[in-house]
Amino acid sequence: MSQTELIWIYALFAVLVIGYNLSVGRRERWRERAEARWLAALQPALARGLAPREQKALARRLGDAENAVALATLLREKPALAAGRAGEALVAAADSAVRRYRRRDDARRAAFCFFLAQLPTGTGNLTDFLWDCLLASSVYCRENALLALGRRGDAQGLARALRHMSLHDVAHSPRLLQEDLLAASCPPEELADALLAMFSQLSPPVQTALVDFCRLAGVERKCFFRRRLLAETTDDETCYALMRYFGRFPDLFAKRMLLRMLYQPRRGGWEYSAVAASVLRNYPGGDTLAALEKGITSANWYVRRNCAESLLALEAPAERIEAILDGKDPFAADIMEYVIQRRGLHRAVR
Amino acid sequence: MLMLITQWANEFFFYYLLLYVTFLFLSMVMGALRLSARHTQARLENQFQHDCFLPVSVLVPAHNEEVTAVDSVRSLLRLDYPLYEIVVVDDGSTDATAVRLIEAFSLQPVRRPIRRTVPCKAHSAVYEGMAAGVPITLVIKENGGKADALNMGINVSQYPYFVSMDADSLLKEDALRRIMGAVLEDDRTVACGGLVRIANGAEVEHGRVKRETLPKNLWLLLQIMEYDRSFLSSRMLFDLFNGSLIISGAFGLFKKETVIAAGGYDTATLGEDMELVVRLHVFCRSNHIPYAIRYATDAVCYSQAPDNFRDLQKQRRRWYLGLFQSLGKHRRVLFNPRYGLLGAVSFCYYFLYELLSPVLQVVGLVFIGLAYWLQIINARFMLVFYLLCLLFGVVISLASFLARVYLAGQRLGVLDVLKALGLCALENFGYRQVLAFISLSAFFGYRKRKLDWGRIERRSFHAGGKSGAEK
Repeated sequence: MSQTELIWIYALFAVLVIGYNLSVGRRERWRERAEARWLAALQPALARGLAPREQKALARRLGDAENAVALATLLREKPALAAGRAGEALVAAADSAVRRYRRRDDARRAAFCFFLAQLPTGTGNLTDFLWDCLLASSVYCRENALLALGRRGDAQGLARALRHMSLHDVAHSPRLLQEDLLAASCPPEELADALLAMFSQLSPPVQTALVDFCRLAGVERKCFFRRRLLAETTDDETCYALMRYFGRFPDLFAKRMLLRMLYQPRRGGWEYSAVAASVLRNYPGGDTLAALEKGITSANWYVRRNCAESLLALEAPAERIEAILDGKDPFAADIMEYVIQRRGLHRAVR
Repeated sequence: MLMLITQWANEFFFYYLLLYVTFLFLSMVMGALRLSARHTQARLENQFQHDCFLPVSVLVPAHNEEVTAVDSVRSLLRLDYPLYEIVVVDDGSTDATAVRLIEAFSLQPVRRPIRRTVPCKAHSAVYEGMAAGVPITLVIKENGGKADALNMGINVSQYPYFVSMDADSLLKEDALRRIMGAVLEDDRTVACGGLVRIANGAEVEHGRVKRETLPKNLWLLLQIMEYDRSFLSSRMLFDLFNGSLIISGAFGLFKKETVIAAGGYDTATLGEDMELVVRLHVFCRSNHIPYAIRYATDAVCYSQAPDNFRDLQKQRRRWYLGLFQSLGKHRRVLFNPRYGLLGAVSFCYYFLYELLSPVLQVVGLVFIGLAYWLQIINARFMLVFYLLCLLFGVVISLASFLARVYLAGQRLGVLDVLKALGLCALENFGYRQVLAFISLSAFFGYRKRKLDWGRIERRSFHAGGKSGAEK
């Protein structure tokens, strides 16, 4: 074959690619119509109970991620469709379809996890699949797997899944984890206890998410968290979360820790002082005001700013604020003036 | 001897072109298949992504952008994304860029320190404000170039990922969601490029592209074809094996932690966007960090393109020199087995068909003339072969254009298709040759103007708007 012929063949293929591009649009429209027809026929069948042949056909259909997502969307709109015997039929079909997803790409596995999240229960096979998905590099995949596990209402199961992620060093965003925990359908207290029981086996991001979850869900476990705050091995981010936790649940022991961290931050990190300065606004009292007045002379801008903010939040007496404004430390006076300005306040006394 | 050299040279050019055509062919077939798969994946994700997101900072470096900066920030305020901040860095503008922004968004001066995680020039003021629930930060600093302004933006930003863009660009409403999708699909992603489309001629209302229309200006039309072609003809293929070397400075997403670890943007190059991407490859591979550099075809950014020959010349000279500097700086990657396909395919492609192409095109024409004069060439065969290669280029351009149109969900009339066909022909027979000469001329005055290459006229996004300039 000569080079010229080769080029002609290339050009022919290029033309075929143009045709392919044009045909894809049409194929999609056809697919959407077929999907709508299938869902319309499936609804009454689910209501009356699926015959074995229909059950097989459903499992085959669910092997296609697009069908699984379409059905999941329908179930989300009409959760009653997955109740009772229909739910059992859907779980059985999912159990047959799951093996096809084991070798699929992350997008399709995430889609199937999303479908599983709409089902009321699961089987051992499905749980194994979800656990595999927790280790994927796709955030979508991990999120949907956590969503599915969370919706089952099994606190122990979800806790074990998070430990599984921790043991495999999966770095999932603490913010997403915290939202997953908040969205789980089991009681927050039960979930918190299940996770606290394995706290030391959880990775720092999961620990941080757990502390934030307890703070936001109002789970009071001050005694446990006190010990964690004391432990030298606790990760920095987890410590900040613990300090914030004690902002929501004031505690005398924690107050002493916070006051100490304002001057003697752990591992010398100014972030500890800054967080302590911010959290102390939840601890009114003369000793707090005195500590904040001292903290406002810190060499770090963020510590000074947070001390000034906390002093104003605690409604420190006007003469004490004036004393800072007219004091010897120009940096402290400057930051106080700045925070007052930012809050749209005016100096009370001059 | 002369005959031997000419014969050898002609053979070299023949195989050079054949290799190029083969590459284009593979690239287009893979690109078309990948586009289709990507489309299906995006449709799946649209349905299940619920509220899954990671916060992101949008960095907008601006130098004398008083004409477009406010519109750009307004367009950013309308993005469909739950949590993001906008950081505008005024890089020593001599016009009213900062004043316009302060007035438009009622920004207030703040006195907070900026921690220098990557080096950049000193700042003189920081302003902050909130518009439509989105925090806006404006930093006014000494002039140091776009790379320096982006480094300042990195220092100021507070979120783990940042998007870098130009102050004369507009992002499509879902652009942030789409580009962040790459990170959510694979959290090893350290950088991701978006699809850059030409904004000239588009109808903009309240900082948003309301309707896309083809401009009447020929230079712009040719650039539209060229942009479409470049995205399908190489970037999609490189994306397959993590080999993308370019993320447009007009719209790119980066993982802040990795960029900081790699040293931030290099202020000593004209092509800071390409240099950073190559450096991220080198950094991650040298440190055995699992990583991915992706390309999101559905994350769309509208950017202003030069609408006259003079500005096009300036822009392309700058791009070419940027390419030259980046490839030169990281030349050890070429054919280095440590870098796998990146060194063997991507780097080789950019070296042979982007950097050397203008030189070879000009030298090739000289040798063909010489061979004809020496009567050692089958003139008819050579002409047919060259015409076929160009024809193939036309088909590729048309396929790319149609793929992009299909992705955008647009409909074309017969007249539009004919117009596109004509433009594809013109892009391959004339425009590309002109670009080769422009690129080649970039070396004249290179030493003198290494980092400063003229000013490009900017136009307001609104019809009849006044012009501005950008360094």
